[in-house]
Amino acid sequence: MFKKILIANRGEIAVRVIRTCREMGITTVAVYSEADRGALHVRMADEAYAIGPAPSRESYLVIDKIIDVAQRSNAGAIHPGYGFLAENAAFAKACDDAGITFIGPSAASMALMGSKIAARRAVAGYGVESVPGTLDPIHSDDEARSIAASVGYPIMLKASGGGGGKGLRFVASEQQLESALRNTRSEALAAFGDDAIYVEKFIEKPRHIEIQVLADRRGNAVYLGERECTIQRRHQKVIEECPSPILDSELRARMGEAALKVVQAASYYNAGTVEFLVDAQRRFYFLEMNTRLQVEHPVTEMVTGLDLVRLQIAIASGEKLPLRQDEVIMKGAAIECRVYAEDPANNFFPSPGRIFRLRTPAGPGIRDDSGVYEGWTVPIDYDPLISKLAAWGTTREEALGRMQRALREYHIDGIKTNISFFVEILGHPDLRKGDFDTGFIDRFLKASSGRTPLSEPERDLAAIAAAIFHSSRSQATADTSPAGESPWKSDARRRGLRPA
Amino acid sequence: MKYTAIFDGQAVEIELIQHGSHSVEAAIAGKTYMLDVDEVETGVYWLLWNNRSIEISVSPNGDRYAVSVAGRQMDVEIEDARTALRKASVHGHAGMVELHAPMPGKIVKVLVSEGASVEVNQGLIVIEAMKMQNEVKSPKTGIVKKIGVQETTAVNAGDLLVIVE
Repeated sequence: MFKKILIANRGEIAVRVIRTCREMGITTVAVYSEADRGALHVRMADEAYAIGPAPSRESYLVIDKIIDVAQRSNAGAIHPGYGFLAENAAFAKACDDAGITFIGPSAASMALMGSKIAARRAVAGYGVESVPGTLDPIHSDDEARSIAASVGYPIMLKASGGGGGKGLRFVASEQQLESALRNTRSEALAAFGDDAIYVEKFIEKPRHIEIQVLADRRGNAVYLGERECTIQRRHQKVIEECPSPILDSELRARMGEAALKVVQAASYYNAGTVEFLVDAQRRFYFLEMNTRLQVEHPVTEMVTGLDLVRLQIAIASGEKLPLRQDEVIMKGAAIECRVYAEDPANNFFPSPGRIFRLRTPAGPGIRDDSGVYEGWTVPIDYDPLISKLAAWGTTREEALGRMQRALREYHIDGIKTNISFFVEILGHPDLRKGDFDTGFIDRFLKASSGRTPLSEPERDLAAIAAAIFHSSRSQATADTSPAGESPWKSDARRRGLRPA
Repeated sequence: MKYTAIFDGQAVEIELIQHGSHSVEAAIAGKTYMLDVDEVETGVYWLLWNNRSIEISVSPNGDRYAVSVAGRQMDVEIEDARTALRKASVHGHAGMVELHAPMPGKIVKVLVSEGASVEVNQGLIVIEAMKMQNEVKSPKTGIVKKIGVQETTAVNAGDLLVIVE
């Protein structure tokens, strides 16, 4: 087993990995940019090394700097988290070359699954069906036209190198095809340095469901159930749950077996996620494989009782998978909300800044994977994810109830967050019934009145509280008050909250 | 004291009468609330209203307050006689609009120069925060009177960006 692990990441995922390392008695090494000096992951790690300026291109994404710190600190392995270098085959290879274990799959598996076209071709050889469309990049507009006609409109154009919702375009009819091809190609070239694109049939009312897999380096593999990731905004997941409200054990087993075929096709080891689209007839199609730990892994951990990071580390150190498929037991239901520093009342504008009050929820079935603390300034340089709040219950209904309770307990002041948005959408009857597709949030936002989601007395009391705060803080008011001084202010001073 | 609260696009009169260190009578839009109030943490008020226990947190956000009740948020602007007066003098004569940074970020581009004529919705400044670029647009047709920022510099929420007249 490793004695020391470097975590090549920041924020909540770096904190998450540090926690398991500490439980296993492994020394942790953090890396940080100038913007992350004093960040939670840096404070929690046993050792910390500065790796450059705030922009990730000059710090977290620089392979040589990370390898250099691993060598200087004598770390035996590197955990990449997700994002940054986690799915960069060149980084995995650089670790190999330096004699440091990369906690993840081989560079070859990563490269294969990193190309959507190569991945689809590889899994097709194992009988796993992808969404109808092209396996190879299209060469001409004419070819695109004839393929689109054969799979039927509407279609999607997708950049071969794309991901995370980027490089996708919906094409409703043949009239739109020509300009859509032109725009997708130029976007793909600008964003990914590669203008290869392919054509896919658009699946109406799709559910986005992924299977967690785990494989060791000796050919043993298991699937750890699914995650329902259909609730998305701008193609980014927002709420995830396990199990999916639409899966039964028969479909779960079929999708799980298909996911294990993908593992075989990629000669995959370590933790990975196989993403599928499921249509209204419950047919499923392979989308892609994510060759890393997912953001939403806590819901799987809560339902299976496993620690995926611990298993990743064990597999990377050469250990055998400690469980067989029939030993994977799913219990209850879990749901996760991704808490972002963004303002739902203002078109989800990013809201970085200083957190001057933070109170996190606790109690039965609640888990908060956070990367921030009270007094920390959320930097403007990175992803706005500040925490993942997860709730477990014996049933989906209980988990939902706990999540709503926990969201009410969650106070973050100083920055805006999407917590209030979660409170609203979790109350939606379709969400409670589990009846939704990937268009749920768009429709929800379109239908919402834009009015503050508070009852009338709550609105009144909120305005009154603001007026009381205003009166206690404003010198002007105190000066003109007939009583001389606001009792709020003297009360606060009495209890040491304000200086005299 | 009398205040005007502006929220959800409407202005509502509030009158606060203090009856003791914790007891408040608050009149808002013709309704009266008798409240027990305690500032239990800085900016966090615990209210007892008809034996209902309600916690409300208030944090200043530029000219406004972000108020949250049971996980839901509302933005409120409070005006008293003094702030109303000050606002009038800052804003000067009608027709002048100040644009402030909606969030901390970095100025990526200044698209106009002082003295330029701009159309309504014309882009003025591009701010980047958290990997997203956001264009600040002109709310009216007019002349750029002042630009308060430079390219590549950082701004805080509420910093003056542009004045359009």
